[in-house]
Amino acid sequence: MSNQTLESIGQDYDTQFGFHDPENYVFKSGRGLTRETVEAMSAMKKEPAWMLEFRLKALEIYHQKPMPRWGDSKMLDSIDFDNIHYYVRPSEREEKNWDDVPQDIRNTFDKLGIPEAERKFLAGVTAQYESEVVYHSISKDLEAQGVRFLSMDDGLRQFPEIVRQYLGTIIPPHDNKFAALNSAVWSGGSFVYVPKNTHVNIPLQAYFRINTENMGQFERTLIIADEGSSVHYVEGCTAPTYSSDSLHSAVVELIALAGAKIRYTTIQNWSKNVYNLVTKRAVAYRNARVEWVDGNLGSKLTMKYPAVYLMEPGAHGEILSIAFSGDDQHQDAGAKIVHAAPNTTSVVTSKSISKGTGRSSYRGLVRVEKGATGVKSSVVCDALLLNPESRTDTYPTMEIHDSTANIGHEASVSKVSDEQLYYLRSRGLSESQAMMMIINGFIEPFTRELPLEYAVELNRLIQLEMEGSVG
Amino acid sequence: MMTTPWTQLDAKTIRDWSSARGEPAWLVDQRATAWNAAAHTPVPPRTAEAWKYTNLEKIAAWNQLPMAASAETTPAATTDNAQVICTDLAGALREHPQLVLHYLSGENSARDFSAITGQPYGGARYLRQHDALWDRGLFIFVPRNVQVTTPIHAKTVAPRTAGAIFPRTIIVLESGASLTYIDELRSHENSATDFSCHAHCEIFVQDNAHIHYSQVQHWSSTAIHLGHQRITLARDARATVTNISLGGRTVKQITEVVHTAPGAESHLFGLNFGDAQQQIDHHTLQTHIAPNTTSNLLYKSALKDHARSIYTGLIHLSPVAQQCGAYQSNRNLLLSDDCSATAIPQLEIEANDVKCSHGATMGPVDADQLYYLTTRGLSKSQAEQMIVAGFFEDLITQLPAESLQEMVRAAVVHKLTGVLS
Repeated sequence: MSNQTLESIGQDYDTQFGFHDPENYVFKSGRGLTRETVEAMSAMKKEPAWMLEFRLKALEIYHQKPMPRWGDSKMLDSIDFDNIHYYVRPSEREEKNWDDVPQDIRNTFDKLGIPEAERKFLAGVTAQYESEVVYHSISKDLEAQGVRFLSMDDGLRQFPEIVRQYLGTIIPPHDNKFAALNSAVWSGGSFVYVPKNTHVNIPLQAYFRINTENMGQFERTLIIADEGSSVHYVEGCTAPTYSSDSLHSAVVELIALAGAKIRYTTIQNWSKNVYNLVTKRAVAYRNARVEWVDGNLGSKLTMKYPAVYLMEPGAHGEILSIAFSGDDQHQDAGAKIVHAAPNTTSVVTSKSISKGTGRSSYRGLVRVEKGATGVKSSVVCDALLLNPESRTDTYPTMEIHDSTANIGHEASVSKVSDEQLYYLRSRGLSESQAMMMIINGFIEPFTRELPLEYAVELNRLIQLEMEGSVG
Repeated sequence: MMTTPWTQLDAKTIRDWSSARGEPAWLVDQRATAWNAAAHTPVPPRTAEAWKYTNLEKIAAWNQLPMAASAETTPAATTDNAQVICTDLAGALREHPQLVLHYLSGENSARDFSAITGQPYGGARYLRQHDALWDRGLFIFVPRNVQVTTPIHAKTVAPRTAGAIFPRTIIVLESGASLTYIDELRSHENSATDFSCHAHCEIFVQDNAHIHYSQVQHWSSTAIHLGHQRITLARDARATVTNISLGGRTVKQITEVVHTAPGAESHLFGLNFGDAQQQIDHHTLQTHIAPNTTSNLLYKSALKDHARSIYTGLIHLSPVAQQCGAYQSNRNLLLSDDCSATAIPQLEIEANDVKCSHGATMGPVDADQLYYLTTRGLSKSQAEQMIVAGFFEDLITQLPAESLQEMVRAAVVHKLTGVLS
């Protein structure tokens, strides 16, 4: 932990990310969701007829499906779906040049440091503001190699066949209520295609920002890594601190073809008035590798269980996650691995920290289908409880239908031990420094996997959350 | 009463039957009320975690059987300790009406079990049904500071004709008492009649009392078994509970230990060996509602043929349960291509100064171990037998009687090799 990170104690979410900007929007749908809302947004986007049909069918499914009765039913029931703006179009079009982005929006992303980050270490950037991608760029050489990194709406315009072929195949609208909702009103998100044997060595980044109160953001991301290729995609999320709630409900579909590798990193730091109900799923074919690196810091309630379906021999899935729940937050996160082919392997590592009245839950699935021989899977969940009111839950499910599988699951729950604190304090650290050091150590398996800038940022964010929690 | 499928009985028939048994008016009423309550309580929803994998409602041998004649196969047990009450429940109702009333009525009747994942337990209908229909069982009462040194060994034998039985066991240990109790459930040899057992066992362990309870279930392969066990521990009380599940076609066993006061401590063990088409489904609840309490659980299953094992278990620590330790471990040995195992070990922790962990493993016999033993001259099947025996041995030694240990060892070998050793 550097002095620099220590010095930043005292800043908080409100000044850092919690500001909001005036709304000079091209279009803002009324509150609530009707068939007309969906038709209007589809028309405004000039979408092909099949997409409108897809949306309307999904809308029907959304209305038919009951609210989930598992997870945090109480919080889910408190979402007022009629009070939400389902489609907000901040500007006329998506820009490739930062200077062409409308001034207000540019200010927002400037404050969040997005173009700066791009210059420093990213191969491509998408910035989504409300429902639409407002800025998008990709480095010239990647484009020359045939790498496609577009907003999902642009993807649909430029590659309608590919989108039609794959969209909703990994996560169909009837998968769950929120996937249906997203399928009906999706807007924005990223479309990524990496050609055969092409390696995108520096990360592609998407940044999602909600600005309006009672906004619903429903981005849709589809990443296809063709045979033998590799890509690392990073997303970050923030929103202003309002007194009433917003909803973020994304669908992310990843397809790793034979020998491909996809890493998908998320640092979710929504303000504490956002419901974050996301469906993320990947399929991995022969010898492919999919890694979800998933950090959950913000939001009021997050329900998110990144999944990997291992479809062909040799595929490998990895899910590495941390959750930090502060007062009144519930991070209900987890991982799902389905071994549908022989000799597939998976590793799940989950770390959670609950502070104050925060609640962290791990909810997971490991399934081995019959005939999937020689499967190996290991799941480890560790939970740290900082205060007497903190809560943690672990709900793993293991369904094993093949007797050659080797499956292990272990979980532990504890508080920061007095011995560890005492030892560090005897070495001259203050109690809060000692606590921070122990927590950094606890989440180190996660931060180690992040690009450096993100690791620094994450430590700083946790430090902010930790402020005033001891001594 | 004894020809109608039990599920189609009505409150009036149950009243008449209860009166004919010479039961007190409060019990006649309680049975009828419970039956009506059951009718209004839904069957466990598929979404209830504890009932997701075993649906008794679809099984004809569960729904369609009449109640078995109660003269047959009443559980039997004796003790040489004159201070201890050890009698059948109907007899205890006559001889000790006030005492039995306390443990059988009101809040001590078959209560709902703890909620899991924020949902109600889901099996309330079965508890109400049992309150209405229990037809046999034992009442064991160990007074203050009495140590029962010779184990009480209760035996329940399945009826020879098709039928359903509803045994209820109530065990009370007053403060400072101790008891070793064996509950053996078995069928006549080569019995192939349709049979269901819906058992309910309530154990009250008062301050500083110790119980060592073992259930050894080896029904015939046609039996359907639903069992509820609840152990309530007071201050410094201790329970060791072992469940051996060998028989039955569909077995659903729910075990809850409630730690109600500081110093309470429990050790829960489970041994399951499924073969043929057996489905063995255990649900456990380690409920901690007081500080300084400890629980420790180890359930092991070996599976062959098309057998299926399901283990769902919850450790729940309430906000007051500080300085607690709770552990849960489930291990599954998969011995055939067609067997399957499901494990859902769960933690809900609302206190922070605690140590909790759980683990679950599933896998075939370790190839290295197998190889080692075959290099020593053992055949593959001998080696496998030795490894499975070793897998279970630590649980078998928990059983309090040598004869019982031998019986379980022999049953394990029999299941593995198909011949009686």
